[in-house]
Amino acid sequence: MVLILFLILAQVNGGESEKLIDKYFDKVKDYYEDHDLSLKEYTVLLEDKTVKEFYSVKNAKNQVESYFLISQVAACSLGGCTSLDEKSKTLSSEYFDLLVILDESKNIQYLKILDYFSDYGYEVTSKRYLKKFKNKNVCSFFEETDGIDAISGATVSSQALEYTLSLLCEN
Amino acid sequence: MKSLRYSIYFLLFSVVIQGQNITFNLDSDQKHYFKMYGEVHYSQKMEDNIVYNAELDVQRLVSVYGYQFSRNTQFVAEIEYEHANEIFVEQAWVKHKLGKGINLKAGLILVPMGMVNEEHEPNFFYSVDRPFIDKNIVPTTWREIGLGITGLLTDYSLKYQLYAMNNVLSFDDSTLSAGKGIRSARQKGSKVVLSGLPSIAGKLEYYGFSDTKFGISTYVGNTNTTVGNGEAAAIDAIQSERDSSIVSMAMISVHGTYARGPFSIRTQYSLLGFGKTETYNNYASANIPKMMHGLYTSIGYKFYEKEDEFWRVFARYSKINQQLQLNENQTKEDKLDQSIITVGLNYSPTNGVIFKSDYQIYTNKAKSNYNQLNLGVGIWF
Repeated sequence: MVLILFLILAQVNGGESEKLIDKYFDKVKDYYEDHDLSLKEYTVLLEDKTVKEFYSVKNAKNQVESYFLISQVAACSLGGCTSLDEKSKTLSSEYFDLLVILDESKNIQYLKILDYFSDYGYEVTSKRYLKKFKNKNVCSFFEETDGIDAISGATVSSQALEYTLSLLCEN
Repeated sequence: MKSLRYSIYFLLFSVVIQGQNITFNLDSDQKHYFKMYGEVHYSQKMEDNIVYNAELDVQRLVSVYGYQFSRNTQFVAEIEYEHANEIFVEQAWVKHKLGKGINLKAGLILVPMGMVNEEHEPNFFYSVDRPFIDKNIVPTTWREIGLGITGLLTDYSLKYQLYAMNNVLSFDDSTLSAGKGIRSARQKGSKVVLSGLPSIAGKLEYYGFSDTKFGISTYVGNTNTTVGNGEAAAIDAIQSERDSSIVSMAMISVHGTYARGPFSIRTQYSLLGFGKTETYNNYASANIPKMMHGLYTSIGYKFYEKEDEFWRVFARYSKINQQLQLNENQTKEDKLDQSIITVGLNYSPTNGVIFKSDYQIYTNKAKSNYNQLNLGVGIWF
């Protein structure tokens, strides 16, 4: 019985790589439709394996009007969640999926954790916490301040979220 | 009964097949993770007119190994050395994502009960030893073999866990007791006896308020026994003995945490109740009560913090009564109704290392009071 269960699990996970945008495009589309924004032409700016995809969106005049990011972000794992080290910034054995939408000046307009897999640090999915990022500029905010206070008990997830947002300034 | 069992298997497989098909394109070294934590303790008990040796102990050294089979499927195991000479498997489970907010988890799982049983690394609790209630009512580290679902309902800031798992073994080499509760009866995943239906364990946590978290945990089921195993079902005397060696059991814990800046507060109340205790006590020559309970509240304050280094003072008040409600003919033991005041100091020179010290004052209704000095060092990386 156990063998059959594991065979089924292996089958389920044996498919080809799928881009995050393929999985979450409906979520992106919903936001743009709800806010009456154009999503006709989007171009990938950064694509890091299947864990990070950053797009710019242009309007009819070929001007960048917004950006969106779909990313897998390092999360807290069993055995401690106190500090984000260099390795954890890219380590993805515990992760969550993030959607961020920026305006043309790279101010955060929308931030949602689409899915959270880890058993630890899940407090970052709290709407109350995520609201604190609204309208923050990914360039100036993280350069000029210490960012949002990390959540106690969810430090790695909080810091990895901010680290991921800070990368968007350069791209 | 058989058709019910097959229906459950079918339902389980149906749910599994609906899992999402996303692969996880990681480097080989990112699929593995390895962590460790451990604690070394010194304890000196002090009581009027009695001499006690101090005790030094490598309480535990635990290696945590994880492997990510795919984006949706993960294996985690914790192998623990206790007291430098005992080896246990503390966790060994597979978690598979079935869909958004729902994961299947199966294997040797930590019972989701209270605060410390699931988060028991030395950085999580401030005292050298784990809180008394998290040892003698919730028998941390309490793990049993089970299967169930867990996930987040992010729109409601809720985390849930629901498992069917084996219960403790109430009659074999050891029995249940008032002083230790179910601690000695944990099966720990070793040749587990399941003499009836599995128990149900569940936990719900709400984290929607700033800096605050609340949780409620429950565990309900019958204990297990080796009495009558392999004997004819039709022999009434044997079945009666078997029934006498089992009790029904229910545990509930509520907890809350608040942490903002250097200040933190944690509190937990746990209640453990047993049914059919009179029959069981007579049969097993045991002394379990109908109910036991405990409450503790900890307050911590980091008075120095710079980068990863900090100093913290803390205080904790615990009240525990392991004979809250007795059977009519049971003798009250006043020493099992006690309060504990703990004050202490933590120093963490860098992330991953903590030096702890505390002083505990144990008072009980039997007036066999004592104090205890504890020192310890903990690591995690």
